[in-house]
Amino acid sequence: MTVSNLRGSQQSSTLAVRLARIREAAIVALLFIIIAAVTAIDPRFLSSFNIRSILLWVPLLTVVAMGEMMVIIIRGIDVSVGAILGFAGIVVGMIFRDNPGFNIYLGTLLGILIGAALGAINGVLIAWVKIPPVITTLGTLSVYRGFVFIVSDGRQIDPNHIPTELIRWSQRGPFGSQLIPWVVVIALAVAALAYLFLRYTKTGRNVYALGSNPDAAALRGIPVSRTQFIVYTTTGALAGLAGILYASRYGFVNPGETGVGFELTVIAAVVLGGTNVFGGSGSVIGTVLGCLLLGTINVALAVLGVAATWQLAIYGIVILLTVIVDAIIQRQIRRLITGE
Amino acid sequence: MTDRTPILSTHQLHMAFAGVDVLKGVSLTLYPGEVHGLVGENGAGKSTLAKIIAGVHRPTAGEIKYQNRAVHIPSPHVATDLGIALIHQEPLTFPDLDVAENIFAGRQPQRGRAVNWSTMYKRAQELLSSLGVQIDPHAKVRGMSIADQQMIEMAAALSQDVKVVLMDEPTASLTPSEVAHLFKNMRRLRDQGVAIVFISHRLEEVFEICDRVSVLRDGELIGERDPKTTTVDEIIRLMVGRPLSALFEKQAGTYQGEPLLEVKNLSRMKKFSDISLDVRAGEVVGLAGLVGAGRTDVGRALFGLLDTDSGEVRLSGKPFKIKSPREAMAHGLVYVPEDRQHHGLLMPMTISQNMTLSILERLAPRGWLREQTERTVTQDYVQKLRIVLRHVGQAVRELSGGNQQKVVLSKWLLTRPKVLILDEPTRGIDIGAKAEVHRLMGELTAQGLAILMISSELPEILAMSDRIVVMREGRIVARFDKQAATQEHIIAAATGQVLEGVNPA
Repeated sequence: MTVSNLRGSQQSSTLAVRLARIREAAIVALLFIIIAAVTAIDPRFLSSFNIRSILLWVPLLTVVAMGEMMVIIIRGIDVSVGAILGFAGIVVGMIFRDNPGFNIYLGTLLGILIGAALGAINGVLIAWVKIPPVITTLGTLSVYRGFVFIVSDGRQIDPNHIPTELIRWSQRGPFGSQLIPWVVVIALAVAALAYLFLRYTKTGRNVYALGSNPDAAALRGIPVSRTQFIVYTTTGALAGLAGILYASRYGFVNPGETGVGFELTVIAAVVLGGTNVFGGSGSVIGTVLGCLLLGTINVALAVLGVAATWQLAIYGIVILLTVIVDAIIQRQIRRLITGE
Repeated sequence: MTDRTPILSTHQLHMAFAGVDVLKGVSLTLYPGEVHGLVGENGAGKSTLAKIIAGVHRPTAGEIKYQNRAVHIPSPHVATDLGIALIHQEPLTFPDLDVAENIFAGRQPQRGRAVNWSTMYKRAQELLSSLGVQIDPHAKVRGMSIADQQMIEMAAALSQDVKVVLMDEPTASLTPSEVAHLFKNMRRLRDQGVAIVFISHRLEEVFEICDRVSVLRDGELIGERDPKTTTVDEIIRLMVGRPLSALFEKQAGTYQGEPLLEVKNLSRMKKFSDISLDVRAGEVVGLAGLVGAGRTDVGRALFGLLDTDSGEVRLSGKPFKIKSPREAMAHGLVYVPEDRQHHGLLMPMTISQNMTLSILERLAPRGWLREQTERTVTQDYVQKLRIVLRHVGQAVRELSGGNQQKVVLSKWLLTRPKVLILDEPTRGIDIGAKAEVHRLMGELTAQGLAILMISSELPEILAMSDRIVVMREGRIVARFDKQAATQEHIIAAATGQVLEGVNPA
C-alpha cells in the first residue's frame, strides 16, 4: 500500500513468475544440450528413427502426466496409474481378442471408463474416507495389478489379437504422415484439454486454490472433497486411455510388464516439469516439456548403449535432483521473505 | 443509534471446546453503519464469537438473527452468501494464485461456463482502487506484506454485497501508516452502512475508530461502553476484573539464591531483540505479554529450538552456547512447551513410557531398557504430582488435560533440571489441576529450582511470579516486582498504553 510495499510485493511475485519461466527455459536448454552432446558422440541420434522413437514414447507419458500433475498440485500422489494402465489395457485387449472386429473407438472409450472407475475408487478413499493418498494408491496399485493377473489368467494379449487399425495409430498420422503418428496428436489434444480445463473452468481453478492453501479453500467454500474426487477420477481415466495407447504402440499387453513401474516415470516427468511437490503450482507446458526431456533422455541412453536396467535408477536420480534443487531455492526465498 | 434496526444480533450464544466453556451466553447486537469494538483478554472468547458469526464454528447453543430473521450459518460459504465476511489476523490467501484470483476464488466471473479473466482483472482493479491501494491484480500473492494481503481479503469481502465485516486483530502486524490507511477504509465502509466488528488488543485504536465497545471476559459479555464517555482505565478494569481467590499464591522470597539463568541482549531476526533477564534459584519470573509478543520464541531459543543472532546466555554463572535441546537438558535447562498434543506427549504411548522419554540414556546406559526400572522411576512422580490414573501402563491419551500436563512436567523433572521454562503451564486445564500445578511450582522453587513462566493469564502471572517481565512486539517493555505489579499495569505495558501515574521501569 505504501510505495515501498508495492515494490516489495511486485518484486517477490515477478521473482516467482521469473522462476517458473527459468524452469521452462532450463528444460528446453537441457533438451538441446542433451541432443547436441549425444549427436556429437553418435550422429545417428538425430535420425528420423530415433525422433520417431521419442515421439512414440512421450505420448503415453504425457497423457498420464496431465493427471498426475493435477494430483500433485492438490498435494496428493497417485502411484496406481501404472496398474490402472495395465488393467484397462488387458481388459480391452481381451475384448479385442475375444470379439474380432470390435470397434476400436468403442474399445478406447471402454478403456477410459475402466480407468475412470478405478480412479474413482482412489478418489472416494482419499476425498471422503480420508485415507492419505500414498497409502490409498499404494494399496490400489497392488489390488489393481493383482486383478490384471486374475482376469488375464497371466496370459499376454498377443500382437495378432490387437486390431491393426489400433496399431496404425502409432504408425501413421494425419494425412498419412509417418513422422507424427496419431498417438502424438491424441496426447497433444489431451494436453490442450488439460490446459483449457485448468485455465478456464471453475473446477480447474479450484485445483490450484486447493493445492495452494487447503484451509483457505475450505473457508472460501471451495468443494474440497469433490475437487479431489474429480482429479483422481480424471487421472484414472487418462491412465485408462494410456492403456489403449500402449496396446497401439507396442502391439501387445503383458500382465507382468505393461505399466509396471510406470508411476515412477510419470512422477519424474511431472516433477521435472516444474510442478511443486508441495502442491499449489504446476503448468501443462512445463509438464509436456518434462515428458519430452525424459523421453529424450530415455532414447539417448539407448543410443549410447546404456543398459535398460539403468533407466529406473536414472528416473529416481532425476526426481531426487529436481526436488533437492527446488527445495534449496524455496528455502532461500522463504528466508529472504520471513527470516524463518 | 438504538432506534435503528440491528443488522445482526446473537442471542445467548454458548460454545464449548472439548468440554471447556469458551462462550457462556453472549448476546451482541450490531447496527448498520457502526464500528463495534470487541475487547478482552487472551482467551476471553473474542475470536470464537467472530468465527461463529462467520460460520467457521457452530455454537453449542444460542441463536443468530440477521436482518430480523433467525439464520443458521453452518459454513463460511453460507456466511459469505449472507453478506458476512471475516478478515483473519493472519490473512488466509492463496500464495500461488494471483491477486485477482485471490479476490474471486471460488466465485470467478464467468462468460458462459468459462472463467472470464479479463473481467476478473478489471473488477479486481476496481475493487483495489476503491480501497485506495496500488496492488497489481496480475501479481502473485506469495511474499506480499500482511497489509497488502489484508486489503486483498477486504477486496474479496467487497466483491460480494457485504453487510457485516468481522475483523480479528487486523492491525496486529501493521505499521502505523498501514493502520491509518485501514481505518480510512473502515470509516468509508461504515459510512456506506456496513457494520464492522473490530477486535483488537490495542485500546488506543479501539478508542480512535469504534463507535461502541463491548468487553468480553471469560466468555461473557461484561459491558458495553461508548468510547466518547468512557476511559481506557475503565475498559481495562472491565477486561481483567476477576476474583483471584481460587488461585494458589506463591510465597514471595521463601528462598532466593544465585542467578541460575542469565540472558543478556539476546536477539533473533524478526522474532525478538535485546532480551535481558535473569532468574535466580528459588524464584519464579513471570514472562507476560500478548500472544505473539515473542515470549514463546525466547523460550524456544533458550532451549536450542530456534537459532539466535546475538546475545549471551549463562547457566549457573557459566557461559553457555545453546546448540540443541539435548545440550540444554544436559546443562540442566528444560523448556516445557504449551502444546501438549503436538510437542509434549506421545498420546498412544503409556504414562511411564512418556515420562522416561527424556532420560532413556540414564535408564538404559547399554541400550537395553527394563520395564521394571521404568515403572519404579515413574511411580515416584505419579505420587509426588498426584497424577490420577489407573496404572502407569495406561495410554496418556486417556488422561484428563490436567493429568496430561502433570505427565509432561514429570517427564522433564526426571531430567533433574535446575532451570525450568514453562510455556502456558496451565492452559486448557481445569481449576483444580491448575492449583496443583501451581503448588508443584512452589515446591520446586523451594527446592532451589529457577522457573521462567510464560503465561497469558494475568491472575496466574500475579499469583506465581516473584518478578514480572513484560514483552511487547519482541522487546521487553516493562519489569515489575511482585508488590508493585497490578493487572492494569501489566495490560497497559503489554498493549502499549500509558496509564496515569505509572512509570514502567
